Amino acid sequence: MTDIIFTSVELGLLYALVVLGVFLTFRILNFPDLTVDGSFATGAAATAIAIHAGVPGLIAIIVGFLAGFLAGSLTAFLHIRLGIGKILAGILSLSMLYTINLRLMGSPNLSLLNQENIISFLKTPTNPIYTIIFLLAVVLFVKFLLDWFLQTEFGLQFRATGDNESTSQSFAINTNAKKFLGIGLSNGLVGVAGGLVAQYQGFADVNMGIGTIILGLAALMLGEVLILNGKIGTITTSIIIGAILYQLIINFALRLGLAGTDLKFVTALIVVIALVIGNNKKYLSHDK
Amino acid sequence: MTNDFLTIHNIRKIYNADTANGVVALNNLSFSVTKGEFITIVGSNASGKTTLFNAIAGSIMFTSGDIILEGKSIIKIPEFRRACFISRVQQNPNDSVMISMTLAENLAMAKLKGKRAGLSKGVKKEWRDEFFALLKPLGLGLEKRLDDKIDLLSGGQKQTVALLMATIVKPKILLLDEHTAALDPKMSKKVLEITNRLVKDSGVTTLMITHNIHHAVEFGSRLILLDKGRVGFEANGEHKQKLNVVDVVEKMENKIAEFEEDISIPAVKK
Repeated sequence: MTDIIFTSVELGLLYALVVLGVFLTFRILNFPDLTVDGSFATGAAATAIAIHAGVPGLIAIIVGFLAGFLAGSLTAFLHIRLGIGKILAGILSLSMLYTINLRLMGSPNLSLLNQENIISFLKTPTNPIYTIIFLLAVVLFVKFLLDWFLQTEFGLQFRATGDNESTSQSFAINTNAKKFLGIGLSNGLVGVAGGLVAQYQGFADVNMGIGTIILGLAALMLGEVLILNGKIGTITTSIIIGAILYQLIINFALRLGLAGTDLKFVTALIVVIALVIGNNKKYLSHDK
Repeated sequence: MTNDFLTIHNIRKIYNADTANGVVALNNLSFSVTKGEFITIVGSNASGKTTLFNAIAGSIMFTSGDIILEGKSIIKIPEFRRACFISRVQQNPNDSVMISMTLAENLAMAKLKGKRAGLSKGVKKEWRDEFFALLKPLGLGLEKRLDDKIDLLSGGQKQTVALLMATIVKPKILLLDEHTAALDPKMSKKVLEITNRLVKDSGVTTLMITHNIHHAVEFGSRLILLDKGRVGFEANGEHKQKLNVVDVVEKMENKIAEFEEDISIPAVKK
């Protein structure tokens, strides 16, 4: 019982960074970015390569961020500079990233089992609490950074871009630059998550990103149910809790006999249910 | 011509050029604006009013012609840079403000116009005081709602905020695109009075599109009637003061009659 909770919290915190990234694009920028499935693995691959090259685990995370940022920039470039639609730009980019990730690693997967890394350093067989404290520190650091950023002058312009792009331009905001940065940052966070997951599970795999975007959306929507007020700090906290909640639901379902192969269906179902509830909420709150 | 503040020079805009559906929206339109003028623009649908604003603001490219502000052509400047000196309030209240942000955040964003946005706090304490002082005299109770999401405000309140946002950093030109059309008559009047006061106090050069001939005659120092993409009629100074609604309606009707008689309008000119 407690092991399920600990595992769920660990995984929840690992994937919370994905969810914060997805929140940045889907919610703040109003850009449904599907690059995540690719950039997650790119972050993992870059981190794994860095660790193999002798880079300490903590710094390898930054490498993962940069790799994710570049992956996001690819999507941003396809959309902004080449004028390809938002969804298609993401799909094309994640398809390209699959090849890039394979090329980067030189094989479909890269083991980290014999390498010193930050999670293996913290993890002792008996006590998972150090890993949780470390992950919580990383997630809270990102959360507070994001809360602060979105309330700066630059952050206001950034949010305005997602709110109403054409009106933003009439307030002298360079919306393309904001979108470029936002998609990059979002995928950078996803890259960090990929790097941490690779260190957590002891390998990077070219297929490890598949389904990440749906997972991110499911957790985001679970978190959004918990939002009490419109304050940015409250929203990001709810989202992090949503990420943990999602892992708890999934892990308990697995314990109750759900097959691992059913996971993707269940996750997608959570997204569908959340969307339907969301639509009904809007419908019910309508006067007529 | 050199004394003119803003010159619209021979602008031609054809939508769907080179197709059978080609529409001439602006037909070699020319007029000049003196600094500090408050021009009301009227005209039937498809007379080119909004296209003219889009051309000035930089939202659209046009086929030929030039727009000269203070002696310099501005047509090569992208929209978001032109916005540093051209403000615009749209017809739809939700297009003039950022509905997911609070009132204070909206005003702060407007204050950042033309500045390099940095990483300091977006809504500063001293700005809040300034916003409070700006909103209080309006008598709409908005000064108590600085931290409310702007989406909770009524259409008229949104348009009032939009006006403040458009003028908080004084622009060279203020474009008002039927900004009271979506409001009820009472609120519409209120917003127009606020508009009039803002324009007079700041002395900003203003162009206001309206479908309400009463407003067009009552407000502003000059009236322009656009017709089929060119100036159909205009009146300023004393002439404008003597103008009454019936005159303008008559002029418009005459133009429409001319339009209907004229069966050979060349839509596509090559």
